[in-house]
Amino acid sequence: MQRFFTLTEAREKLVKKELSVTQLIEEAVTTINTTEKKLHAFNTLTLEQALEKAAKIDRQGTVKDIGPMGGIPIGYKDNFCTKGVRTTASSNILGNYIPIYNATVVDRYEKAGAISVGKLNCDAFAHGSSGENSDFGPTKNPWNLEYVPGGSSSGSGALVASGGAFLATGTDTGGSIRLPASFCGIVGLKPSYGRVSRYGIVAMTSSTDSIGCLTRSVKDAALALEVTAGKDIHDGTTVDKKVESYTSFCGKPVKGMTIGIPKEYFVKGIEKEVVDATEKAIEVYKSLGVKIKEVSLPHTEYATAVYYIVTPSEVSSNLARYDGVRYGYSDTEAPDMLSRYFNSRRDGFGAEAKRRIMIGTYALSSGYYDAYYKKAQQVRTLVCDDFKKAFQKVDLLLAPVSPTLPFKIGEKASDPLQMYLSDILTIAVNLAGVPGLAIPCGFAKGLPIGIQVIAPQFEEAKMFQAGYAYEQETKWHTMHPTLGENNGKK
Amino acid sequence: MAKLTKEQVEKVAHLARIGLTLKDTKLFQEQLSDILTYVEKLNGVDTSKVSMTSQVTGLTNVFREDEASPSLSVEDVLSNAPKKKNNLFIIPAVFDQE
Amino acid sequence: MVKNKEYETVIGLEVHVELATKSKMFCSCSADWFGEKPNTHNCPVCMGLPGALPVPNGKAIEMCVKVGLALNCTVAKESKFDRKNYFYPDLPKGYQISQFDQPLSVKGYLPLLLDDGTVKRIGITRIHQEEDTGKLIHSVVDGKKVSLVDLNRSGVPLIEVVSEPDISSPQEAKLFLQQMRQIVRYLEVSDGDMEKGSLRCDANISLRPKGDKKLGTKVEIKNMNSFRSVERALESEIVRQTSLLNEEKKIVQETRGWDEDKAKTFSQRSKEESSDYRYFPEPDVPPMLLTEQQLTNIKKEIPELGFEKYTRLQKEYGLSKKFAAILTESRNMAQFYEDAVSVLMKASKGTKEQAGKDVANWIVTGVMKYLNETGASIRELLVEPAELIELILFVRDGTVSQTAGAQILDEMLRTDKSARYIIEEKGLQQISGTSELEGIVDKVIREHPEEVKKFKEGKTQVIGFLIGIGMKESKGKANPQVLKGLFDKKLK
Ligand SMILES: [Mg+2]
Ligand SMILES: [Zn+2]
Repeated sequence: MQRFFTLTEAREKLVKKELSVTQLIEEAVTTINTTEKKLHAFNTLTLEQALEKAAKIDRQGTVKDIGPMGGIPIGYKDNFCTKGVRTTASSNILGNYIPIYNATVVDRYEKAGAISVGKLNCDAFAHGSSGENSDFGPTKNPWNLEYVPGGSSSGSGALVASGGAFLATGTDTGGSIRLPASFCGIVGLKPSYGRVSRYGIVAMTSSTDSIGCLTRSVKDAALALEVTAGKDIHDGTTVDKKVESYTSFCGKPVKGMTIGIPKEYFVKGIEKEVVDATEKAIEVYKSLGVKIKEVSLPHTEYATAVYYIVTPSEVSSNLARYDGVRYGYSDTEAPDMLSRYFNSRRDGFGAEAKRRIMIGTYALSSGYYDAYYKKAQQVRTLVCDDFKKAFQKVDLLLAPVSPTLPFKIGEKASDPLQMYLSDILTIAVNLAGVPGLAIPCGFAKGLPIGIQVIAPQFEEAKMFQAGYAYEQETKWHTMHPTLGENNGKK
Repeated sequence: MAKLTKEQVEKVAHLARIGLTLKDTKLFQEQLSDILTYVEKLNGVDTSKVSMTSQVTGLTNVFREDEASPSLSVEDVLSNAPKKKNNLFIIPAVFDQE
Repeated sequence: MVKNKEYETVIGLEVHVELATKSKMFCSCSADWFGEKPNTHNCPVCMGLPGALPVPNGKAIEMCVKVGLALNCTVAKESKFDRKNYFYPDLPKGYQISQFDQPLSVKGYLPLLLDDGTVKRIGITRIHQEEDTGKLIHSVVDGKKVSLVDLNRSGVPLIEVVSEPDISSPQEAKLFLQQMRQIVRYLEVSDGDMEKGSLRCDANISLRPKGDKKLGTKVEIKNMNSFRSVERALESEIVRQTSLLNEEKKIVQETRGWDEDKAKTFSQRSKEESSDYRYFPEPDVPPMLLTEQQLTNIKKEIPELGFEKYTRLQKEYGLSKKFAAILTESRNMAQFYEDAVSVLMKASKGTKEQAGKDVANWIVTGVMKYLNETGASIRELLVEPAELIELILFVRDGTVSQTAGAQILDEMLRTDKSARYIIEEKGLQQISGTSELEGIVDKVIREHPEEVKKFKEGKTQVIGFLIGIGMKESKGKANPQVLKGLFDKKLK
């Protein structure tokens, strides 16, 4: 079935003209039309425009001339601004918002020839670990519709896993790409902070938001990074470092590499299935000639606490612009400005956005700044130092993405703190700004499990090299959900 | 940490310009207190000699050249306006107080 | 009855200066917003759209550092931006990018030149870089009172200069602002126009019993839109606070607005309801590190400032404080003056002081008078320094009289004709020949017997009057020295 090609395979067929762009997009449209009712992966579909664009490419000539993503279907997480196409961040307050400009990353994908199939559901403003915080209802896990697909890039995970596209964008602020990748059994790339432009992406935590993607293979993710990485004059926090040919590292031997296993990542309460799958992955690396070394990241246990101060603080400020004046939901009947603010924000924001705004406002307010915000950013320094020290001893780190298997929809929804703890193994990476790559590493109870390979800052190449080597030795990335139809794997 | 009082939650909601129902206020009293209690574990870390990290790229001095380029059309600027007239956004009358 | 105490006034100012950059602080929209059609100078960044990010304008930061150096500040080696969070409909992002605990400059002073010619140092606490807000227009739409939001000004670079509470009167406050304007104009970082809002001022004012060390409760005064309104608002506030203190009433710490029409300050909000700005470091803008080299380069671009020129002109040319102040009011005026002096030095003998004083007299009495009358600026002047000197030389060598010289200068300023041309056109050459002037002297003696009598009685000072009449008779052309000689001879 074509829909379970990888991007790289599809591209080859397009280049060789074994497949037309129209055929490929039609396949995507058919898949999405059947899966969407079950998954709710989309907020907005742009299938007609996609077909038009495909026909245009086919008329105009060869895919190769168009760019490295010529004719490839892509889904954008709904916090990526797309000019003329509704962009909601899955939030009521942006329910009817039509951007007048594209995110830099969207421009880069379009320029490379990618074809958008639509805007993907997520936790509103990317606040969440399960997708349940979308103001438009949750996305379902394609492996079991009663389970969450992981969040916040929930629609991205569900779309790519269910074969509707080879590639979906995501944002990873505390695990929001790696978690859904792990829960959906696909690859998730969180690049180094500063590697990919944030311009045009609805901001959550400005100091940790990383712009990446979810794909069905490591090489596909490497290609996506080649297309999107690099300095952007509109984002002062992007670095001017050379963008490497990441795909060329897919296939290089890993013999002699040293991979560290951070002992603190095997936390209390971690599920046995997760530990088992991770240990098997370690064995695979050993068999490839990789040296395995236990390392310590001693401040890991504080990362979540740091994150849940830093994030709400920045969120409280980043969400202040939704004031009902220039765009977005507004109580235009309010008698005075204060009521316009109160009512627009009360009715426009969902519970989680409000909760984070409230915590952040409190943490930054006069008299509490030192105790919360300053303290958190100081401990963050120690979290960063942990990684620096560890990477003096090892090339990469390897750990599970989530301490648990995917959980049921509704299971943690009423307890925000329990939900926050889902990110316990992904957050430190964001605080330190280092890159991480989630790769499928097994199944238990019919649900996927993922590991993450973590690299030093801006050393994504090494991460792809190790990720690809593992992937080639295993079969997990070739397994596909059937959306409950015969409850099994291919 | 002691549970946040109703007044504290209301004060924060006012600063954040979020209208709260009585139910919201009660719920936030609980939830905010839980989260703030959880983050108190940071007090166990000695940070007396540690500086803050608010950015991780190591970048400094990122500046733009002082060159003006064309702005958006006024139609684009106003395209998502909840209420507008004569190329201006309309809001309820605001006097010189907050 | 309690005897009314004497109070002294303590004033600190917060001055916002809009920088004259081409583009805005964090985006490339044109910063030239004044008088433009509403909402035509905007982009995703300065209208606070979702996803937009700020990238700072290096030129603006350089300008801010310049002002810091000019105000004798310590410029920070390490600096950063912070977010100042508050809600107001003219603030698109819900926060202003400003600087909190690491401003670009700290601890300087402005040498305030007082009216009596003495100098008082006013401490500068800090200078930081920030961005301007949009503007609200109050209006009625469909019978309803509304406000309208124009974002053209949103994101225009601003610097905020905070003074120490070293200012002790409304007059000093006004002078401080005027001299701030002079500095930013000398540096060419702003037009400093209060009317356009390029220069804005908030004042903190408190009173305390004379001799007390402890500061009284301070009140912040806002919306003063001219030098005069700053002075008036503070005067009126002193009256208000004095009477409260005399009645032993408490002064409330609050923000008060200035009502120009009613000539009164009015309460805007009290301290209790004042904002909690929740500052934190701006994550979107990397910190700034200023190297010695960069600082040296910026220093090189700072011209001699008004105050330095004022001091030097007195020393170098022996000018009075008053003249030195007038001639250094603007950089162009000072330039004109010194250019003229150097032309004169080359063209004639004599000391620098003589040349300096001579030119100063001509400028202050002639050129300045013309500028004040017409409201023109020195830059628009039709007369070049060398042309002024040509005229001065004609007066010096007796070609024309001093009186005629003044007339000629006036004509030169208005018409762009040269001195030589005007002299010839109007026949204004000075008459020095005794034969030509004898007739005039005889006529004056004949027509003023009273004065002649007084002179003969020994009141010789009356000769000045007679010479004056003689000058008038000659239509200003007579050489007054020659006239005097003739009168002396004929009345002996
Ligand atoms: Mg300010
Ligand atoms: Zn702009």
